[in-house]
Amino acid sequence: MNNNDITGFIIDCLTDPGNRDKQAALNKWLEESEENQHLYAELKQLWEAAADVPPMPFNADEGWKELSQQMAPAARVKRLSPWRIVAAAAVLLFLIAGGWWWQTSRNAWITYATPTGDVDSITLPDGSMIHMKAGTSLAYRKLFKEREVKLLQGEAYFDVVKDPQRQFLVTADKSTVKVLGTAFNVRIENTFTEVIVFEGKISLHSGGKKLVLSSGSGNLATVSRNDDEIRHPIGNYSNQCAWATNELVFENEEAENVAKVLAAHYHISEIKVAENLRHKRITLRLHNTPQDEALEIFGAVLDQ
Amino acid sequence: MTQDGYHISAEEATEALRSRNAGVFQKIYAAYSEELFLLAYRWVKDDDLAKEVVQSLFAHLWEKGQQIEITGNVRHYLYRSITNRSINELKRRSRNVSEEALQWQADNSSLHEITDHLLLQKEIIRLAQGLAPRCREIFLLSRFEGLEPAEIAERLGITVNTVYFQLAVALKYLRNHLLDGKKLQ
Repeated sequence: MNNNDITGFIIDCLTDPGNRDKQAALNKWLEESEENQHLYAELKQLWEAAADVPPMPFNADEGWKELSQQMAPAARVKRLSPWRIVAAAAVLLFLIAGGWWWQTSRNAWITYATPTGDVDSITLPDGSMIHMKAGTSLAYRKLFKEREVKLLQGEAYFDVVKDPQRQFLVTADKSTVKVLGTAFNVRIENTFTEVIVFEGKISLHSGGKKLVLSSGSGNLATVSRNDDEIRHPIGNYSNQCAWATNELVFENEEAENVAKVLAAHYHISEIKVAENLRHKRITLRLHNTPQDEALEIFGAVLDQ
Repeated sequence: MTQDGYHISAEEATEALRSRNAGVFQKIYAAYSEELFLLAYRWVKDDDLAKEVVQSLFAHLWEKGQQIEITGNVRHYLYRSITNRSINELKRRSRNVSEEALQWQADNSSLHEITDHLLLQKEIIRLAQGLAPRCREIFLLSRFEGLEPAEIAERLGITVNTVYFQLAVALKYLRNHLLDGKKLQ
């Protein structure tokens, strides 16, 4: 085959991947030399990359023209001619009307509810991310000048972008969480609201009381719905954020407990631990680890 | 001012947004808008919407420039912003968000891979302009419009063999010119 025929032959194979005879001939040709394999890989890459190209081209010059019309010109100081004063008055009226519209729309809220039975996430206008469990709904300010989110029901994990100028507020039932930039989990239950800090520091406000929570040990607090009482138990509850962070950390914990947490996270009914190893204390850190690998690591650390 | 938009650092870009420097802003747009359009198209699969996402990102950067801090690599910052905006737009319109897009949003470790892919696409678009008219037409119908060889043959009133032949010519042309580019680097 000459070079032209080969390219034609490769295209034929790429457009007809289900044809066994062609694929067999292709494999045979590929086995002939490494050079053939290189040529095939390059052509295939080109062929596939070209397939994702949008049918309409993008014209950057036109795009810039459109964009620059939206960009407000810099203010200039000039003496105004009489008709310009009329024009300026009209603009002023327009600005007042616009200002009124802006005042009302800045108070608008956008409500978002998870549409499916899966974990879902959205990115807020400031770049902060919210992960939500199924059945969660929340509302946030449309113009996100004041960073404010209301958790209406369910459970959400907030990964807040740092902005020392603007605090980020989450209200959930009777409690308010104030932060500048950190990551935390909020859950509304029937009788209480729970907050866990995964990273950084937050302040929790409820019924005139305030509690500062930091990540690490003592990072959970609950607010009772009945009497606004804040409870602050000991212990590190970071692993309860694993549904959003995919991070599980165990420090010097009994194997039995580790197995329970792992089973819940990976939705397995039970992870068996040998009788004599149940109270063995282990340290383990899993980040974005698939189930099989996690179980293998657990087995290895446990030495069972 | 011969400096092109690719060499603008994150600090320079942030400073340009703060001081509303339209010249630098235009350079950033000229350098990255097409790549961002290709990336948005990859997620939203709709040219009009992809263009809208690109334009709204730049409008946002210009309007909110005072509050924006670009950190790290400008290209990666823009890729992340475009991906977030694309996903939000899809959700707002209750359209399906692909697993790939979500995966990429959560873990953008494949940034370099996707950059290579988008730059290759940009090169293909540019080089396709240099193909002979008939050859280009057939190539665009096959790749950009996604028609099967038989459909192209029918539409243009030519044989399927001619379609294959022209596609082979186009691919060889692209490959040779891309290789030239590599040697020059």
